Amino acid sequence: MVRTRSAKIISNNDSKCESTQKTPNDIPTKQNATKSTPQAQPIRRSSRIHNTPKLPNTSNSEIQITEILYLGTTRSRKRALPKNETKAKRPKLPVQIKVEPGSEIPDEYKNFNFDFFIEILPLNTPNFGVIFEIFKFLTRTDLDKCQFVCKTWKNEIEKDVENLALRPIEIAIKPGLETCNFVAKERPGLWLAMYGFLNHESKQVVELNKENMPKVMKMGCLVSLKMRLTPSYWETLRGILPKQNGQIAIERVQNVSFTCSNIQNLRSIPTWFKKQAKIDELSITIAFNFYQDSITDLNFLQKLDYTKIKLVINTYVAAREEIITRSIHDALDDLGCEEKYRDIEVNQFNWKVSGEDGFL
Amino acid sequence: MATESANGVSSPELNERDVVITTNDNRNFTVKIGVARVSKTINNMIQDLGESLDLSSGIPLPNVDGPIFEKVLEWCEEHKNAPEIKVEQDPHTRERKWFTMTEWEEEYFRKFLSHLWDLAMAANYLEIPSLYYYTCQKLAERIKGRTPEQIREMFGIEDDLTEEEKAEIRRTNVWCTY
Repeated sequence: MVRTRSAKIISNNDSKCESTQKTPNDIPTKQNATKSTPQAQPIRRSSRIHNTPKLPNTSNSEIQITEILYLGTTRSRKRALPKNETKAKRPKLPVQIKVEPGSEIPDEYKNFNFDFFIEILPLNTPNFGVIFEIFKFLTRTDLDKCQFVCKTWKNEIEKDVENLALRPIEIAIKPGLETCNFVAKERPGLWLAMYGFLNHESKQVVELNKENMPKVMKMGCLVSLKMRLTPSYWETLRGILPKQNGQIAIERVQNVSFTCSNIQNLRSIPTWFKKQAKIDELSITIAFNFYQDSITDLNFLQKLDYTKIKLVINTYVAAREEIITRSIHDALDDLGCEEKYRDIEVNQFNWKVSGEDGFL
Repeated sequence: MATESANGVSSPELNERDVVITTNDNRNFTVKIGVARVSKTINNMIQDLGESLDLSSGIPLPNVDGPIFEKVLEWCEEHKNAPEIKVEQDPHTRERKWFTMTEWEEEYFRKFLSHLWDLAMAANYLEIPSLYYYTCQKLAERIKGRTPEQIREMFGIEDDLTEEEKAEIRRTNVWCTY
């Protein structure tokens, strides 16, 4: 099969080569065929064999190419010659090719994935049950591509979106002293939406948010979050977004989870939440790359006056759970945080998964 | 499952008996009942027929053709005593967890690569969960990482989406990078 494919390619090259080498007399037209004597033909043919350029350091694949090149020209002449003469006069080719598989393949092809060329799997009768089952194995990014295949696939994905893979979205809240930035990005893609908001006391930025918010909505970011993430995520997001933007109302929620890319930035959030949502019990989910050095950043917990703190550490770094837990307890001891108020849970995940109430 | 008799009573002897299965191209396959019972559809037929089951007259399979059934039988033969597969999904992303296949299974799908669709549909009809889910996984594997054009080319699907429709998808789905 490979050989046939090569032959096709080479025959193209052959015609190109011949166009530079042939004289009009060499072209095997009917006229030439009748003019040329049967004796003259083998000589010319054999001369072509010997004229075939010998490559001193040729690889096996190149030798193979040369052979096919010759066979191609012979076949074209065969038509021009009388049948009985051709068979009698054709010289035998002294072809000696030793092909050792893989030994002479050029480096650039050695790691080439030929698998891509192998299969054609015609989908004769589409069975939606089977297609749906296949979709269940795919990620949201793959499903995005599948939407562009055909109308049927697009409709199937849209219809069953509730049962198919969710988009892994990372949401990060980056609060400063007054400002907070809400950033949503699809892992591992680019940052797709970003807007900032301030608390209700800063009108200027609230107005800015009014402009930004519809933009974000138009981009489909929040719509996507609402549609494609589970209700708990949406609730969490609703809790985080400020009331003043007029788009989403903050409801009093008992447990609010948020994730933060930098633990330092958590400091202003609890205070802000207390004012806004008047919550009595705060559950904090921290998703961050956990390093032991970060433990000192837990200082902010000391300032909180909630009755109970549930601290959920979601770490994406492979560190032993007991080391993390011990470090946190040590840090809380230093801070003077009473043990009865501590409710610490450490979850270790890979990059994709977060805690029950956390974010993806 | 393999040890239940036609009327639900445990009977290993029955599993060793042969039954004739007729495919839609009128090919007859003589199969051990124990092997045929890997298919829940056939198993139900055997159980429903009970004592009245005439093993020689054959069980008709109008939706499966001979060549595909032959391949399915190969799978059933290998999986006759295999436990039920467990289908799991990631609770967060809702993605189906991929199965780990044995050497034999990998080789099986390599051998019948061009019949994956037929196998999936036959497994669906015959209710053979292992073959069904594994085939779907194999098909998903072919789709993964390919562009829409490559998928269309591979499955011989015609692009019937207009440019406006494609633009609409892009507009409503900002996460989509196509």
